[in-house]
Amino acid sequence: MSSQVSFQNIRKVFKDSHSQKDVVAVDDFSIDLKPGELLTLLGPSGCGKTTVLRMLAGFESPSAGDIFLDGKKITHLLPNQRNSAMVFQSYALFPHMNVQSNIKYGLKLRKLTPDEILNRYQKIIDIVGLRGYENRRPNELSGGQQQRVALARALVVEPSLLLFDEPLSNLDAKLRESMRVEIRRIQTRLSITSFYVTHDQQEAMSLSDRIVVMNKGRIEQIGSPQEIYHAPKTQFVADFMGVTNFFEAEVTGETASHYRALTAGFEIEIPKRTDLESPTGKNITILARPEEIVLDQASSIKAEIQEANYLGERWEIQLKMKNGIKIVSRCSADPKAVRPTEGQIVGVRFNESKVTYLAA
Amino acid sequence: MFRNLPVALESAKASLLQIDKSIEEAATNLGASSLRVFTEITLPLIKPAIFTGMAYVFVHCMTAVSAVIFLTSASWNHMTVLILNQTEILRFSAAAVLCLVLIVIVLVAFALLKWILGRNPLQKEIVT
Repeated sequence: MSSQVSFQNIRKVFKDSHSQKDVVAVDDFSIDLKPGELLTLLGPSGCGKTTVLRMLAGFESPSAGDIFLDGKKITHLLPNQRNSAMVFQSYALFPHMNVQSNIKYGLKLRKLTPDEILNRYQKIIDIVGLRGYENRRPNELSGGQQQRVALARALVVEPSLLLFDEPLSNLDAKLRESMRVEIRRIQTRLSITSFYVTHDQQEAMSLSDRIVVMNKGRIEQIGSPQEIYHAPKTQFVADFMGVTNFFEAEVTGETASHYRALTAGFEIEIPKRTDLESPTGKNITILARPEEIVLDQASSIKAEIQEANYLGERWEIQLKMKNGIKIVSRCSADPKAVRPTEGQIVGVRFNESKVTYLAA
Repeated sequence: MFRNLPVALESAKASLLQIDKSIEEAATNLGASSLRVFTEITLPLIKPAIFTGMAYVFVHCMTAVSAVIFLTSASWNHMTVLILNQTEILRFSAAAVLCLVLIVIVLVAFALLKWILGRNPLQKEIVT
């Protein structure tokens, strides 16, 4: 049961309980969700992403703007009158009920026949793989199992909209990865329009059809995971998606597909972006991920190693270039290679095809 | 009983405050009305605390020996006993005056307590 959701110029203002001043949590938020799509709101803590989700669920009311579900205005509808189901960060399972009662709770509220309730219950318990745990209470389950109960409880009511509020943040790294795959598999299989909130960029990339990056209550960029990762439109998005090296450069020439830019005493050729207007001035900001900067003694660009940290499969190396610009490189750690040492002068090579830019 | 009631209420309140807000929100989100959320989710969760409080009040009331017995003597009279005596002989005006004095004493004591604790914002909530 796929539904279409539309946010129109949503604004949410809270009153600070101490200073009594207005705090704008969400501003000018407009977006449309396509039926069956999984859209992720990504941003740091306090950027307003959970507030948007809570407004969609009906737990908060927007100060201005409207929310539509399948063309029907639901802005001020009570949470129990919207056909949405939410998976909470803390799972929010009913502690006094066992797995079965937790999952059937929503079905009983919908006054379905006992046969229909049993039918749907049997189906979902197999999908989430919890057969055999039906009589256990939430405190007798592991974090991953509790998360599955929460997911089953939300899915079983066949909502037109599925809401996820950082559902994997309390799980360990390995479980988080497998649950991520599972959520995506179930969501695609049932084709339920889903709204997912997270601050974990990897989670957002692996799950989403589209990502909305938020900062200070406003949308910074909307796009597919590939667009957000490879073509960030603002420095904030680039920074949030793992770009750690930003430096100014002067455009010295261009070809049909590339700009030639001079920075820190060396020239670099970077691919032109079709999604941005051509830089008006001569200055641009180069964005380079640490993975795109490798150590290469043959390179004429020299830098001094300031700090080297071993991360297992890679080295993270802090480098200082001739004119004082500091950069970070993350290059593969060959166990046979010599350990990078502080103070050593090394050659640095940029993987130019992967380096991008923004107007300065 | 009235004297012990705040103890029972506090125990229920503490238990209520411990319930994660999202548990009630989850029930609402699944379609439950406020009444159903209270009867099916909140009440079963605070039930143990309510019963503990009630049991405490009951036991306390059943086994209590009033302090008045020890305080009243030939030369000293307890104000509440005096009020009762005045009421029994239908001197309501005298009883009313004594009641007023009693209320003022209680209010002054509370105001004093609030003033002392009020200077520390963390303790402000203790006196309600």
